[in-house]
Amino acid sequence: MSGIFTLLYVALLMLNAVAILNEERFLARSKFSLPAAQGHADVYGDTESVKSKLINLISAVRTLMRIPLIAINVLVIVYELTIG
Amino acid sequence: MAQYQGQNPPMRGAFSPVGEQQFAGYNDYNQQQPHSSRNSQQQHQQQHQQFQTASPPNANQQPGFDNPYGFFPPGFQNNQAAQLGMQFAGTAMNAMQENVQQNVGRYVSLAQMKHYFDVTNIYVLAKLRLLAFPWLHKNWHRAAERDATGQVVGFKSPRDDTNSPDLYIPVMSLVTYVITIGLIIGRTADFNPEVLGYTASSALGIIVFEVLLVKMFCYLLNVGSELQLLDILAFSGYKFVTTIPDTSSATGINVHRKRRIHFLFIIAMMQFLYIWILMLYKSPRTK
Repeated sequence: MSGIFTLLYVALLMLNAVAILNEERFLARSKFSLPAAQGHADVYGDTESVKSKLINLISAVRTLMRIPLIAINVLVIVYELTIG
Repeated sequence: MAQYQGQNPPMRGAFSPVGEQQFAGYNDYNQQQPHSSRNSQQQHQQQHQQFQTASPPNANQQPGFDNPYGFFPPGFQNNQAAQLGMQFAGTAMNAMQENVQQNVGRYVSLAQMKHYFDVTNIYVLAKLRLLAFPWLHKNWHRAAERDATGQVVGFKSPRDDTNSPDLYIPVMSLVTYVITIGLIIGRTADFNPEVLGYTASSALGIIVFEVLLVKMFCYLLNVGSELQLLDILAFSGYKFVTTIPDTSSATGINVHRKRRIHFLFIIAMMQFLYIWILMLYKSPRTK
């Protein structure tokens, strides 16, 4: 397996890692969930900070990528079991 | 008749394939009427000489050429079929080009790509000098492209501006890098063609990784859209020419300036890491 496929695997695993973060147990507790961030932004009026951007990115990945990730994971697992 | 056939080969050579078919039809005509008079043969010769000096034949000339004999040579229908085929091929080519433009244009616009490949010899030499000796270069600003009314419509293409990023040098240097690694391995150990694919893949992987990283931090730090994807690609590709990072146009002045400059510094430092990895890749296959 050569360089660019390693990179694709890394990207896939990172996306998986973001997607399985638990909303109540982890994100809300560390103030990284979207509702907490919106309250934070209302208080401080700071929507352009790095943290709010990160929160937006995480929530976007979690909502948008959940179902495609299942399909991609199944594909990769089948590939690795049969050929790889 | 013999004189006429003696002239045959050079004339065939002078015609395009369409003309040859027509000519073959004309020969059939001569064989069908072998007892024609000497006079009419001379007419034929004259016709052919005129024909030879004239521009290559097309559809409109054919009836005028054949009508004096009141006869359609068999080649004529072939010509029509050939022209129909040519028209069909032309339409298919156009459709294919449109298709390519639509599909490729969805991700990157071809006009933009042309801008990045609009280079001259002088530009390439100046850019290579700049990459090798960046401290000799004083003015790093990119020249603005203005329209007739003096409005700024973008940046000038590499043809007019040495500071403009291009994609020609990165592409060429990437290819050169891959071939050089192949050469080095070929000199030191036994070479197999897989090395080339492996090197190219890892080099592309590093470029993709860097572009993704820069894009993500641009999003996080609100660097904005003045830094385009192809610009990042170009600047990230220059590392194949030399070890010196060239991300100078990525600076933005704003509230988060300090943090952005740190980010820029990290990107610049990571060039050394990338270059080290790129140099490293010649060893794993040799052992």
